[in-house]
Amino acid sequence: MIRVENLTMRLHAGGHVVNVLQSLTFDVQQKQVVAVVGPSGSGKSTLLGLLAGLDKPTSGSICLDGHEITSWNEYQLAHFRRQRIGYIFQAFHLIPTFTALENVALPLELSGEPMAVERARGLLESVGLQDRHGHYPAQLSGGEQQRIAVARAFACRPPILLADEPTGNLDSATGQRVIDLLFTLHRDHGSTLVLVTHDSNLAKRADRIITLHDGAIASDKLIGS
Amino acid sequence: MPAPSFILALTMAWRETRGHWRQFVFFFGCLAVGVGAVVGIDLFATNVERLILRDARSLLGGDVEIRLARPLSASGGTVMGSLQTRNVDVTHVSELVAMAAASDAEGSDKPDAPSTQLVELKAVEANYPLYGTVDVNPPQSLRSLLASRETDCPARPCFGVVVHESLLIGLGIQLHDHLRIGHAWFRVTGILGKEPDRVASAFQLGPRVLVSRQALASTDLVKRGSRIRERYLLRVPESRGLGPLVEELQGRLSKEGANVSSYRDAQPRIRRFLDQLSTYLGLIGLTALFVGGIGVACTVHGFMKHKLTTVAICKTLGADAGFIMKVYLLQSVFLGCLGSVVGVALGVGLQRLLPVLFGELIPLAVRSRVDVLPLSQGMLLGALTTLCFVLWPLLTIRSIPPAIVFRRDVDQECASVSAGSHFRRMKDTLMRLVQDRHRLGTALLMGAGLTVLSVWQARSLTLGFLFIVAFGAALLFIQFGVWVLLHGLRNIPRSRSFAVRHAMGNVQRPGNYTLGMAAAIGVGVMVIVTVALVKSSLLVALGERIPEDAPTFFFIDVQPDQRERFERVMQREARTAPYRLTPVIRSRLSAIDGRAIRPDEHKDKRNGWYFTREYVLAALSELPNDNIVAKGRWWPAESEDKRDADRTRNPIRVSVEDEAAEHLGVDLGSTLEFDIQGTPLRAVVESTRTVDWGSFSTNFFMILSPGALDGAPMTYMASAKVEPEAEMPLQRALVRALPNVTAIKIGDVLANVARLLEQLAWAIQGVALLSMTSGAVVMIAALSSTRYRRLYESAILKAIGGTRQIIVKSFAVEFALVGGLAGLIGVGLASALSWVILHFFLDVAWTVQPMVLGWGLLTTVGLAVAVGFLSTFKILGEPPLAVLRGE
Repeated sequence: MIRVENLTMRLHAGGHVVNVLQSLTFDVQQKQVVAVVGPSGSGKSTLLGLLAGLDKPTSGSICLDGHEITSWNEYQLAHFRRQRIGYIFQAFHLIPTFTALENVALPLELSGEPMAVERARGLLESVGLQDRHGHYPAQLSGGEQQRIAVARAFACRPPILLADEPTGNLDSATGQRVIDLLFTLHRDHGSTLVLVTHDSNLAKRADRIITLHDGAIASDKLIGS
Repeated sequence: MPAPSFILALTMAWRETRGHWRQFVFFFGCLAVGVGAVVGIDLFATNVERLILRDARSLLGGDVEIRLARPLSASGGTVMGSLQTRNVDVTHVSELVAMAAASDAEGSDKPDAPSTQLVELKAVEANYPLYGTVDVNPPQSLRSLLASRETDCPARPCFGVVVHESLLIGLGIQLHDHLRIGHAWFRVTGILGKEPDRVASAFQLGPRVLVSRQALASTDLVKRGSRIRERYLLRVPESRGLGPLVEELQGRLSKEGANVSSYRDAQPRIRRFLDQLSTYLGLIGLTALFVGGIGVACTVHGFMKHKLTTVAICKTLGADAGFIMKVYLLQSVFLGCLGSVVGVALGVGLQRLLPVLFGELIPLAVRSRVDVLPLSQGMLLGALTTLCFVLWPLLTIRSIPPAIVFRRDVDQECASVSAGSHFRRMKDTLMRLVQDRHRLGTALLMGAGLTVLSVWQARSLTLGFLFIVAFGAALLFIQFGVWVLLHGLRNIPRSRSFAVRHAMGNVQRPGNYTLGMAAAIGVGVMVIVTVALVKSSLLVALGERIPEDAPTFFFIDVQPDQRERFERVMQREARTAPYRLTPVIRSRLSAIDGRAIRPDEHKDKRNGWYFTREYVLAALSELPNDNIVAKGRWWPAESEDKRDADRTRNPIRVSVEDEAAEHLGVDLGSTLEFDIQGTPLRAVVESTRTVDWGSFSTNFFMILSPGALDGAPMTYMASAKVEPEAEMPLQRALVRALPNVTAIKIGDVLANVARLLEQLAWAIQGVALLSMTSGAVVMIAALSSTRYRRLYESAILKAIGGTRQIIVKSFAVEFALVGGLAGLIGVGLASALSWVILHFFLDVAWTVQPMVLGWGLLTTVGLAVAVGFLSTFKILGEPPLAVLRGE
């Protein structure tokens, strides 16, 4: 489902060149759950952003579901993300001027789904927030916001789901509930899940753990092997 | 895969707008003031135009007007008589300038000064007016008020008279008091308000006085060659077409030098004046709107900076840049429409104010009425202006990388807020413009859009282009000026005061909208100061151009048999005064090089006045002092015998003032034919002259060769310089001895011109104030978009021990610097613009006006500080901890 080859990312910061990612190469099988771990600044979030086509790598290739995306323009990437990728952020990143229902409905609407609002209502129900559909993000707790972000990410039933420290801004109990929800939905939808986390308990629930260190793969282990 | 629909874009635009109205208050404000200005002016112009169209009959005084500069001949009288047999009502009105003297109960002129005054006399028949009404107090019939009076009169003949109130004030008399005009006495029976057919000009030589025709005859003012305007007003039965009648009368009265016009084509001069006035006011309104547009651009730019994450999230969710731009464009246009609605409401209020502002400059009773067309035009103009001004800031959506949702340190965090010097940013912008076809296309689209709006509002391709070029040039100049001044600020030694250093840093930091604020306020300052500079230079020119030896009085209509008496009075009352009597005759130009002049062909043209005006002819042997021969030669001095002999062989020669020659299209050798009270006179152009009209001496457009007017019914005119203490006794003595002679005091005429100029300048500045208001709203909008940064900085300052006073001082210096930049650039631009107007259009020297420039600059600084504090004072009271915790 995901094939990454020689992926390198260099950034310019304060006049210096920083090697964020160095020649990463790995494959991810369909429906596999991969946890990307590593210390802060090891390049985890950058890797996830590149997988989503949110940024351009300095070199290397990314092949998603048979499509080489690094040479695509912004328009092509946007259309690909709309249908094939769901993304969950550490900071939730809901649109503050949209209600909970509208936030969940947005990817469906962008895809031209005729029953977007009805389906979004169903998704809100599946994350247990059916009574919060008219609330704005500022009126919701962190856990509720992240559940809405999860619902939004699953809205278009994307084959690839990327989650960037989904519990990073939540207390452990709330984080646990969100993770349970994430895994339940993953199981129900059969998507491939790549999640970046600092939480070793969460990482252990994955099928495989890739550890990054200074932008390179320090280890790549299948759980249970 | 289907593209997101237009409906979705609309829905998202609505979701982005609802519940956040407070963020858009300044967006509305910027647009509303501009749209209000445009709509108010348009409504006012529409009301004036409708009034002229609807009341055209009463404004002219009839369906048809026959206008002459001399009494109708016997054959002309027959033509008028024949009209009455065709059921056409005719009323005869005579208008002339005369002297009125206050009279005591015994019929003697009052000895105490002031007791004489120049008046505009109008003699009417009993059936006047044919259309409309005369506004008189007490409200009685004009016929009874003007009737001959047998009782309560000091002397005979005596009549009732209705006068404008200013005459009573001028003469120091009251209602029911007496006055004398010519050889007749009058009792003031009423105060005149508005006459239906008096709209021609706000400029008057004196107050209006209404008398009966019988009274005019008794005054004995109308002599042969007197300066008079005869008008015959006709009411034609509706069944009869006006066109054929006008043509018939033009033919039958051609020898009378009559100007025949119907109400449909009447009042070309006032129409042109009002048309030009509304066009230029409209452009001032458009300036206010475009200044508002700058504010809209600043607001949207600031708004987009807060929307970076939202845009990035949308991109992460699969929305492409084109779709997101569509969303924010729809939102902007939607808000633009709402702002325009507020503007339209403001405009409706403004149009009620404009007639008050213009007062007597527009001699019509303009009634407020709200038309749909100007309102919808204003709405459209507001929406299109929004569209033009938001395109550029919305273009940044393309360059917002979706990666900022997970990594804030992306190189180009926001393309619009690049670091570096002001000059570097300008250079980067230019480079991006050239290299990026989307930017180039957008810039061209904006330019084209604004040009179309300007041409639409100016209703003229040339004027519209000129306006947009001038506006663009002003903005470029402001950009350059801001760069130069900021560069200068950077190079001055660092101040010891923290507040000053902080303020200077704030002014120069990227994203502070210094340029936007300076541009918005600078343009407003430019408009207002330009008007003030032009007015002041004109007033200086009016005052300075009068030479020391300029005459105090012009005397007109001295009859040949009054010459000796006139000289006696002058010697007795103004002994030291030099004066010169010149024999003159009134005429009209009837043909040039054998081609007959038809007044109706020229009266609508810009300089048609040269063809249709009355020319005062003089036959002089010597070139007057203030004249220089431009082309040809002045005729040599000849003895009378030789001249008589020459006249039989050679044609009469004429010397033409050079500007008149240019507008009439005549050159040396051209033949001019004059109509002198029915007698034709042909003359060949022998020279053209440059005349210094500013000398205020007796000067002429046309001077004939000596002897050309021998035997013609001449009158004399004279000019004299009189000591101030002799002015009133001279006027009184002349009125007593020669009641028909009119004394025009040059000082009064100039004072009248200056007063009108002042009033016009005030009125235009009043409208231009809207540009300034628009600039102030833009400043508030720009400051509000830096509110969070200010709040945060203030909190940090307070947290590390900074006092409120330091912050206040820093803000004050910052706003004063912004005002100073805008003021300096505004008055600089105003100086350049006023020079162009004075030099190229008014032919008047530009003079340095330190007071006007100083006031312009100081007022701008004061305004900027006041507006700045108004929009930031709340920040000062915020508790720092709450801000730093991000609560």
